[in-house]
Amino acid sequence: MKYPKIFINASKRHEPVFVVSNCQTLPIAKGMEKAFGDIQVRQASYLMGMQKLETEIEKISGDFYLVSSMQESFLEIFLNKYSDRVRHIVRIPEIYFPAFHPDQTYVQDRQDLVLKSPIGDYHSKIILFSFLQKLTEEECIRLFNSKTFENVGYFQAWESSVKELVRRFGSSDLDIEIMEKFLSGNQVFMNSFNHPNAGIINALTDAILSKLHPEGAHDRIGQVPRHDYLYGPGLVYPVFPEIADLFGEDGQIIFWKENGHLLNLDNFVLESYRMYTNYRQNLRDITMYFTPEFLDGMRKTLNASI
Amino acid sequence: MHPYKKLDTHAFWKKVILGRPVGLVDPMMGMPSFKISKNDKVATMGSCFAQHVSALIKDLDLNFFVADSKSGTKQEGFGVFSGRYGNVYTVRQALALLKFMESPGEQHYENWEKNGVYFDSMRPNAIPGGFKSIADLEDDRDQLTQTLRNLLTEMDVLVYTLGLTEGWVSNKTGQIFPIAPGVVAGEYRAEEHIGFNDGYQEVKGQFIEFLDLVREINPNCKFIVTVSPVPLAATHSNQNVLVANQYSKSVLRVVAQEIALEYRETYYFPSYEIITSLAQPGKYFQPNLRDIYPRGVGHAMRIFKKHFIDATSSGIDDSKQSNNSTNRGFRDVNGKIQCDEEIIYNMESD
Repeated sequence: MKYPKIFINASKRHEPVFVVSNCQTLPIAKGMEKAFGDIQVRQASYLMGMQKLETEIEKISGDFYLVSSMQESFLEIFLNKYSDRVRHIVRIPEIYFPAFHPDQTYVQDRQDLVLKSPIGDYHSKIILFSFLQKLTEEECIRLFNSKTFENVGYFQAWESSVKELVRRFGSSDLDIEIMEKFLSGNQVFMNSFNHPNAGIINALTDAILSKLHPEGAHDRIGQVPRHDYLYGPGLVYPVFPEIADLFGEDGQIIFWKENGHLLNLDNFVLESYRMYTNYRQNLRDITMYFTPEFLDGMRKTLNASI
Repeated sequence: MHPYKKLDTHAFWKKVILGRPVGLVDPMMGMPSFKISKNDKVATMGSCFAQHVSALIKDLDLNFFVADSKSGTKQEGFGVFSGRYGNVYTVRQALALLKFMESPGEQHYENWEKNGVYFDSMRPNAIPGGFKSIADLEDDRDQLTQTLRNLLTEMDVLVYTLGLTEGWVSNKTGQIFPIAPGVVAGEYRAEEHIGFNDGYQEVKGQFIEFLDLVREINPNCKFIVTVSPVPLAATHSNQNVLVANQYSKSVLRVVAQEIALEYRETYYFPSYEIITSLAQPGKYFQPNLRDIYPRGVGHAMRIFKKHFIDATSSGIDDSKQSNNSTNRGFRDVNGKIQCDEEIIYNMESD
């Protein structure tokens, strides 16, 4: 799909920007709002469905610039409806980088509904595995050590994460070069596997500004106030100390509940087990949740500890 | 076609340093090594950083060789190194130890006293609590000769960590001190106690002499040579401590390299690079820029284990190490290593 490259010119009248992405939408839109100042920036998460997008579009009069991370098929549906109003589109990647949080996972039930954990949407693979394998809570807690992490590939998640990131940038309009300084391997730049920190969001926002507003964009680039919108209760997953060591940083094994309370590992395991017991009938078969490599690694760990 | 075309991955900065987690940088890639098996008696000697190797060997249930003829607690100095010789910072000191072993009566050794407790000036911090009497001290010192003899005769591998080029010597007796008289105990006499700072040729010559003496007794012993990444706490060289540190580490690093290249069954282990290089810009030093974070030690020990430990054929159960959460284990160790130099670091100058 090709669209005319019409850039926002601050000196003239300009149309609003509509940001459509996942949970990364809000911080990007907020950053752009601050950078543009007088340009209207509207935002919606496509995860809410087409109806929500339409509701937001109704609030925009006339043409708009689209910043989107929608998948091609979804984008096509969107454009079939609104292509006459989209003046220019910047396709952005959704940042997904599990190298720092390889234990983190979503859990869906048999009806594909996302199940809650004690900290919100994020679950621990090791805890879910332990529950489904009928290990005791104590046995589960003991599995949180570097031998287990090594066996299940938690220390080897960097290269595949980088590869995936390169792929995602490759199918966007942004250049992977903006990630270079983050990919040096000596810093943790994600709050969870899909929640980039303020540094990444700012880099993305700056890159989007360059695409939309090349004339004079440099005045704004780098001046977007850094606010970590994707850091807070229910938004983060801990970087375990053994994994943080790889990046020369301090890790922790504290879990942040949506109500702001903190759980240590023992309590996170106990509360997860309680919730999984309630879900039991709706949980899927163990092979549906884990890759064969993960299952092999866990079996190796369990065999060694017997 | 050009000469770099055929080189292996490890030869290229971009391929092995750039864009990878600092903890996965492996400077042993492409370096010669051998595997220590479960039965090999592994001894350690050198500056306080060498204690981390002792801890790893013990942690992995390998054969950490303790050559002392009697046993005791860590507080009494047992098991920190392979004998109660304490931290050996300079190669001169190591050589002096072997000469003491060969002819203990030839050298006069100072006995240091502080608050009614006696310290062996050869190894003042090796027995942290000191001795109740000079007789006890001298009796224990006599036993050290047997310890050293056992060590040299029986060890299969010696991991030697080069620490400093600076030290102290008595111009009356020729005794080499691991730490200046007066710091731990004893009395500093300016006219007698002279600071030295060995250069490249001296250190290399001393090290060759040391290795030859070991090989005379134990021709099959293998050596793993490392350089301590811990900077000098203080220098007596009249130079800025940063400059003096760079000089000292440069000399030791060059000697380690050359010895490993020229001496048979001698291998260089790059703990110095793992901790101090640009590949982990300052990530491994604590705020005082001397102490090393456990994650840095953990990184060095992971690489050591990967290249020097034969985990598969020897039946080593390395889950033992991880059950105390691996690097968390090193966290504990880091807080417990015994360094004479710490005393100097914490002292104020007049």
